[in-house]
Amino acid sequence: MALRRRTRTRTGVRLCGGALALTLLVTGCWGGEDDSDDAPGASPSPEQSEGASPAQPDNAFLKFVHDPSRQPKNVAQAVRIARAVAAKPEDWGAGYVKSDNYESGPGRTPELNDDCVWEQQELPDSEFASIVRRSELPAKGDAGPLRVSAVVTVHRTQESARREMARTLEEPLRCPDQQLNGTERITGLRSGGDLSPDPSGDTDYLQESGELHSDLPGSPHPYVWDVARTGTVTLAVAVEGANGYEKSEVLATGSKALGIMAAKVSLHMGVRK
Amino acid sequence: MSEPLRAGDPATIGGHRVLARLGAGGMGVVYLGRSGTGALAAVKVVLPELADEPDFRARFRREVEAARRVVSPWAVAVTGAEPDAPTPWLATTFVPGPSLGEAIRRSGPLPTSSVGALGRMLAGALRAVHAAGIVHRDVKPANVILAVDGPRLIDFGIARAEGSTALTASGLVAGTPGFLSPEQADPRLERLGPPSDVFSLGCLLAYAATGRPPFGEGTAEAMLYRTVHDEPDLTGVGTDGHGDATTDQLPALLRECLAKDPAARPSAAEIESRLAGATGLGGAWLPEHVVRDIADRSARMLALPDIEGTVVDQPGAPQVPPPGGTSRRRVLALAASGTVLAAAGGGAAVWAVSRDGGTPSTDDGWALGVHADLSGSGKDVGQAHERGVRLAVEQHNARGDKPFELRLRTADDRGTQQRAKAAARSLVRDGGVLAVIGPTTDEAVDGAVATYEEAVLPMLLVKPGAFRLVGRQYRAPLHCRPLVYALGFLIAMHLTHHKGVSYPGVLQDRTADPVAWQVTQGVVDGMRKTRKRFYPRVAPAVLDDLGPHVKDILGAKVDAFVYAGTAEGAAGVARDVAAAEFDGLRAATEEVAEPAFLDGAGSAAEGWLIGTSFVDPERMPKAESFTRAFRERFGSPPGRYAVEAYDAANLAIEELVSGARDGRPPERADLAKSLRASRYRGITKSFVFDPEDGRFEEELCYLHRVENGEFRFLGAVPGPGEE
Repeated sequence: MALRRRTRTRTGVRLCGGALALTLLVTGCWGGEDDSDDAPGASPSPEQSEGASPAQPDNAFLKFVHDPSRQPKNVAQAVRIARAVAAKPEDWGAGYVKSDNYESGPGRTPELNDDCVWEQQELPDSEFASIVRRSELPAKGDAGPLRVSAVVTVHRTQESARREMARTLEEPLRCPDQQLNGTERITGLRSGGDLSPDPSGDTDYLQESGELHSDLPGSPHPYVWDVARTGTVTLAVAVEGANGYEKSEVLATGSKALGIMAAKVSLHMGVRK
Repeated sequence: MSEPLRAGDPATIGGHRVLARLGAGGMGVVYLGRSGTGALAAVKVVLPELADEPDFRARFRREVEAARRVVSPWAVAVTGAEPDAPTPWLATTFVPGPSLGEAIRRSGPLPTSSVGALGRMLAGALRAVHAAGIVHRDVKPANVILAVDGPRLIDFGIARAEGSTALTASGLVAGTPGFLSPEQADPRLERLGPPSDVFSLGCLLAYAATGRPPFGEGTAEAMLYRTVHDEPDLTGVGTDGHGDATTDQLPALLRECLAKDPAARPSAAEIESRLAGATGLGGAWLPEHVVRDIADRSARMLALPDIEGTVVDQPGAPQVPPPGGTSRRRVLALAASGTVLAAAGGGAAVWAVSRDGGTPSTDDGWALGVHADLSGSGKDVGQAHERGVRLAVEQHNARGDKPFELRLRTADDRGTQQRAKAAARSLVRDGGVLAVIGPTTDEAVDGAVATYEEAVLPMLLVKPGAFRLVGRQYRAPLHCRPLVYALGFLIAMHLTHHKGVSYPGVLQDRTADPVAWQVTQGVVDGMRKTRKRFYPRVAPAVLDDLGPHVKDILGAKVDAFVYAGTAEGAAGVARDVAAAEFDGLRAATEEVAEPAFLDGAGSAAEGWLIGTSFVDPERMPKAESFTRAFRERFGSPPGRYAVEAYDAANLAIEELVSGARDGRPPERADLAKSLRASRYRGITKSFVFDPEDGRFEEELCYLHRVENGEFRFLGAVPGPGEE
């Protein structure tokens, strides 16, 4: 099959503010109810768009422009960036602490296998490094604990990072129900794409949400999986709901941490203003 | 604008009995008066404070003397003036017809033969104006009144505000944006010469031929900028097949008139002689429907109280008896329209601009707006929208029992987000516009939505189908088509009900996100609903090659193939699928129903099923009378989305009419609310909306199949029980 250049047809409309980080920090694009009603016309989950300002933020943190000269050249540089970016407990907010098994990587990464079970795999050749950090807001009385995790993957090329984003979208299509580990299972997972894709192609944003069945009281709880790409780096956060937390809080928690991580990528790898 | 006389209004001015107040502007007030001989006149009275300025009376006298030297059948004559009266006044003949602008808004652009004749006569009027040493400075459609025997140029420069800057922070210009010359954008007004009027005449004739100013619409600043920097858009001038040897040169002549360099433009006399052969077709300079409009309008003007029985002494003013039962209120509403505003002369220039600045005006009566890409890459769709709505408006106006007339107001955004905002603003500022059909592209929706929302001006979306505007915070949008999600869902249902389809493949091409994502969500939900297994793949945006994805999907032994993406992408997929000798069903949605798919895929496109929101009215028995009326009106078959736009316009009209109280339509915000609560049975579908967010609620998808290199309309996707 001969390679051909395909024209990009822009169907995207920029309602939420085009730049990824703005989208995330403002959390304007998503956060609708998960209408799992399967009748036609039922809205796919990320249903609400906010504000009509096609803002192009001029804040350097909010507009990532990929700078190829700052792209890591080797695994060591990539690991340094991944560690600098991956959310630590304090990035999630006051009171968060490291979970057991706080950090994993950089040479292995979780993959969803054909049976819809997540398992640790060797990092593919197209990726330099991947770091997972797990934190939690400990239980207080009947509320919590709120378990969160952050994943940073530094790819060798933008194409590899783009393919990971596409794979991420495929996952809930083929596996709306997923086994996270021995005790946690997600059901009814739906994905969303950015309603306002970045026309430059430098950034990308997706969100998945579903229900988490676990050994926590009140299970199932809302589960959100936010994924972003800034240049050659993919970022993801997972937030597992618990008693005492509204779904909107779960969504906002993920968005905030992802926004901080995206801003850090801009600092380390974006064009310097 | 037009009101009953007020307490302070004079009973007589210079021997004219004052009948009504026609308008007021920066320089004074214009009254409709009747002279001692019974003739109607537009009597302009200058504001006393201006009259007291030292050199005002001298200048006024000079201008009146010059105006009296203007001798042309196509320029209104000065019938009297008193520069030295305590309150100076000036009277001109009163022509009760519609202005050119009003006629075009109501009846559409003029045929080429009429434009040629109009150009010849107005050039003659300008020749006489220039010969008298006057520069008109405000040649525009509102300053041309149509009569059955020819046009009348009014308001040639007497007692008009002098020395205004071309563009100030407040947006004040002397003249009317869209019809100004580049040199008028320059504040040194004293340097204006006759070529400035020639430029404006070029703009006016282009407008007459196409229905849009050649430098677009939008804010005064944007139009002035384009006037100075851009080439005019003369697309459509002289291409309607109603021209002849003389009018064939019209595009070239207009281009000369619109030269940036004043010295490069022809003189008015030269234009007149070059158009000498343009006399209209069959002896009539205007098409019959415009002539009827003039007669209708004139008759109603003459139905003003105190005017009945008046002998009108102007040549060509039709002697039509006033229709019975015309209420005073209605007449006054009509009197507020363009004819009279135009007669108000000088003030009109200032009003036109102050409208840009702020408060919406309803001076021109009620209207439906069309916001479309009329000149960009999506102009076929935009023009189809415009024609569909125009037909609906004209049919409404032809009804005997209509509570009010509607005009059509168009705004062109050339398909860009930036211009969409300006286009939306121009429609919002026209306070008569009660609902807008459009915009016609997704980009434009994004540019326009905030403006419509702020004004709560209902925005009826016919083509854009993504649900991004659905949110409870929006009140203006109304989705007049099924969501792309619904198309995906129903296409999936259709496929899975086919015998032999047990394991379909789905490819989401992120190049077309977010639409491709929404389609895919629908497809996947549809398949899950029917409990079909399926094989999904997602390709990154702007991937060089979808081939490996197609190969992977076919390798999974799927027996049907759904592609959610662009027309270009679909062409490659179709070729790949055909090359692999795949013989299962192949399907895609609306975005693929473009020539790029047919051209790119060639014979590999054959058999593809395309789910669409639009129909082909020529293959739809229910649309037969629409199609006939459309062909009669426009001389060509309806383009894609024309019948959907027609339906949307009729939905809006029905709500306007049913919501009318005392002959007044509902306000914009009330209409926005009632539209969402409405149920309307159109030609193409039944319209039911979510009252909260304006989302189209019908579950509907039309099918097309590629046959012999064309998209052949098959009808609606049958529901599960109907197969």
